[in-house]
Amino acid sequence: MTVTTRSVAALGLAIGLAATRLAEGADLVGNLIGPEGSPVVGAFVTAERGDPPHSTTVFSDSEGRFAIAGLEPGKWQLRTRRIGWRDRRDVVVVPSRDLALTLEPENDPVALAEQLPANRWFGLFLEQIEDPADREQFTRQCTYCHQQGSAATRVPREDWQWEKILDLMARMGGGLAPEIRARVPGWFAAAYDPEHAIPRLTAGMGSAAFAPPPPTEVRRAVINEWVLGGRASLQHDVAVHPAGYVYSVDMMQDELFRLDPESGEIRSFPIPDAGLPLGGVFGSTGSPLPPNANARVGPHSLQIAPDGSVWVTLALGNHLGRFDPTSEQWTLHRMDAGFYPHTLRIDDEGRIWFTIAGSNHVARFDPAAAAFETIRLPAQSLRQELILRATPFFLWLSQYVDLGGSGGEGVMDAPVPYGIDIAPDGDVWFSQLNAHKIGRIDPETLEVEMVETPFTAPRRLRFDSKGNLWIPGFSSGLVSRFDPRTRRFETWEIPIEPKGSETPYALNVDRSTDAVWICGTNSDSLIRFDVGKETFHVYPLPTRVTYTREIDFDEQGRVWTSNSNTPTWQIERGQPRVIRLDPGNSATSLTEVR
Amino acid sequence: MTSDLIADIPPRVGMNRTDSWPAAVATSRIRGFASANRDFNMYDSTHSRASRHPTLILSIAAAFMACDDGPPPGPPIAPAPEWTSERSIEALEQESRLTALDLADPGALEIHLAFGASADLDLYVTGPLEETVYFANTPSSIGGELREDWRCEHAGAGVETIRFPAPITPGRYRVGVDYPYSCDKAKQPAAFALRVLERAGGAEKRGLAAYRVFEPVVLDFEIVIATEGSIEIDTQRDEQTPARGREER
Repeated sequence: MTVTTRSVAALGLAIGLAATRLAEGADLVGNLIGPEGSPVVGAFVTAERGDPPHSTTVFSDSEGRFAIAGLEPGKWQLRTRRIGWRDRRDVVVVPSRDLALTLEPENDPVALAEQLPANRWFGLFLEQIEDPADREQFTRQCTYCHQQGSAATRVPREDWQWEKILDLMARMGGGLAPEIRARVPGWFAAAYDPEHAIPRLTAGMGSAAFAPPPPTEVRRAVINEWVLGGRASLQHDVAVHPAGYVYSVDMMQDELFRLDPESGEIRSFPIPDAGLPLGGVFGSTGSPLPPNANARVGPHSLQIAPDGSVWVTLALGNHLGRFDPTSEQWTLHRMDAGFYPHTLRIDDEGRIWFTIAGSNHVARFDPAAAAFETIRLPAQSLRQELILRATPFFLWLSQYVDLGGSGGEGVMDAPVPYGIDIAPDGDVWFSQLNAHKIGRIDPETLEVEMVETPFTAPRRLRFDSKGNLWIPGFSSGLVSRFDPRTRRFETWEIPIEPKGSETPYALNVDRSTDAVWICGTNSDSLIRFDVGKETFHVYPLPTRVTYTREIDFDEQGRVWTSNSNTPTWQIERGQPRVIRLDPGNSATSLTEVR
Repeated sequence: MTSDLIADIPPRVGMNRTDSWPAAVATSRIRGFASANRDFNMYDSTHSRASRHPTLILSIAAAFMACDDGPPPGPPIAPAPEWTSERSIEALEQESRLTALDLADPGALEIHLAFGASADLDLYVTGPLEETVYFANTPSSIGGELREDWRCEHAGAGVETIRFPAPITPGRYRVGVDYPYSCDKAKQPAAFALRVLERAGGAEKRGLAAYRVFEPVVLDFEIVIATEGSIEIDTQRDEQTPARGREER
């Protein structure tokens, strides 16, 4: 035996011992097979319990084995799930190391199609639209708040129902051009007609290629989900606090939630209502509040300041809020200009920069001086500029005069400043979602520079450690890298099939590795992009209708997001969740059992 | 203020992986003023046709009336519509239409909304699982169902009913009313009446809806199942709900 082979053997032994130790550390170990004894690979195995529920999900390995750690002794609900197989639910007693579970194949095409994520169905809808520009507009406007293609959005409806729904959606901010609106009912009916959809979606069912398992690297992941808030909650964004807590804002119930992942403790901190009515400053403008909401200030986005305080944009209340975790007290700062404060980031000097979506501004708030400085952004035309300036007047006038526009034509091309981030050099970059542009603000002179993106709908963008700006193309299904020094864009199409059915709402860059994590907002997934290898890894998430809008990381490199589909009742089991995905590089990963 | 726009912008659609773009693609630079009221505008001359658009005229007027050079203030909070003697009479008439309705089936819960022919109002009922029954979500997971969506196409005054079959799920119910369409050009506030019917009891309310304003909480009540199995409608929560003047108490 040569030294080399001896080393390899030793390494293999070491890995084997480590694997055994990890498996021994697991609280629940078992095996998944089909009726003929072959392993079921890549299935979600989810252990859940508690009130509110908390769950841990792992994937079965290449031999059908699974191992879950961190479970307290006692009874747990166990669900096993894999596309192509029927869900199985058991009550198991932890610890247990020899669970043998058999899954039954799903042979009913209708039931099988129901298992598929929304984007698979949405692909059928997009096929109906011939004009790429119409397709883009529908994708951008009609997936703002919820998935398209989910069961709730596939319900057959009469034309008058569609007309009323589209009108209501336009009042809520998602408008379509009249010529597109007129064709939407026909597109829905044709795309989701079971005679058409089921054979298309289940072609090849039963074959290995129909729903291949995630690759080995993905199967190492461990996914934790915590139900947070009530059934009317909208956990819009999350942020990881250096103290180890995870904060989440409930936009529809005006609460800040704090989760301690170690103990599982959940606390909520009501946000003062600023004396505003339901719906906040928009309460009487004709923009309807979701019917189960109790929002007066509408917390939307949050970030942790260098001093540990939590800053929140209060979109419906036109305020900026600061929460002191020590005193557990709120301080609200009323904006005297603009409306709908949106996404915020904090620069090295502790100043808060945020987009103001409704009035096309970016603002800077200096906590030391308690002063706002508001920067008007370019509109796309003189007409739009004037309309934006006059919007408060129109809102006032609309109480007395019918201004028409029920189709939402006015909202669909408003620029909508959206994502924002601070570059390593201190420059502030933002996106204009509907204008298909990004922009830069010089933090000292407040000079504004606009750059058109070579793709549509740049949404929540982030910088990597090298100063490159990463941008998700919400309606273009891609991720882009923009180099502010050279002004060059590079784009990569997100490999979710069918192409174009994914709507990446947000991304974030783990600056310790520069891996880019992207919200698979319409496909119940998180997606990792390794720019060095130019490879994507798609991590499926276990809850159907998982609509994600923001990503953050903890010190262990674990990825945090929240399921914020609204209406919440469209989410599987009707409860919002905060989600942690451990990609498998940390000590809690257990798939080494194989 | 200067503005330069590089017009040679390739089409956005059909982007492929690793497509690369030249430097300074479509960059426009806007210099601003070093004052607190920064005001950056970029006007595209290709939109000059807009000057003939009526919206532009209104916009200019509005801009002069409502905006100085600084950013706009937040939207105003509109006052609730005012009750008049005519509207009170109309609301009473709607209420009398509801009192003539049959009682709900044993164990079922029905919420009725009556309104006049001049408006299309929509009834929303959010149940204990926070799922809302309305024209776009019927039936709900606990069986709440909108019987008929009464619209302007229908002749005469309307009644919309959302029914929860027996056994009723106990818990909080919340009733909202929207006024999305006016059936005439007046778009006047619309008087309505609400009635909650359960065989053992009920609750009523009269209100005013403002055109294109959704009131998410017009009535708030709790269904309580007593130990002997009887059903009670508790409106105590509703008494504490701050009304915006929509209700005639």
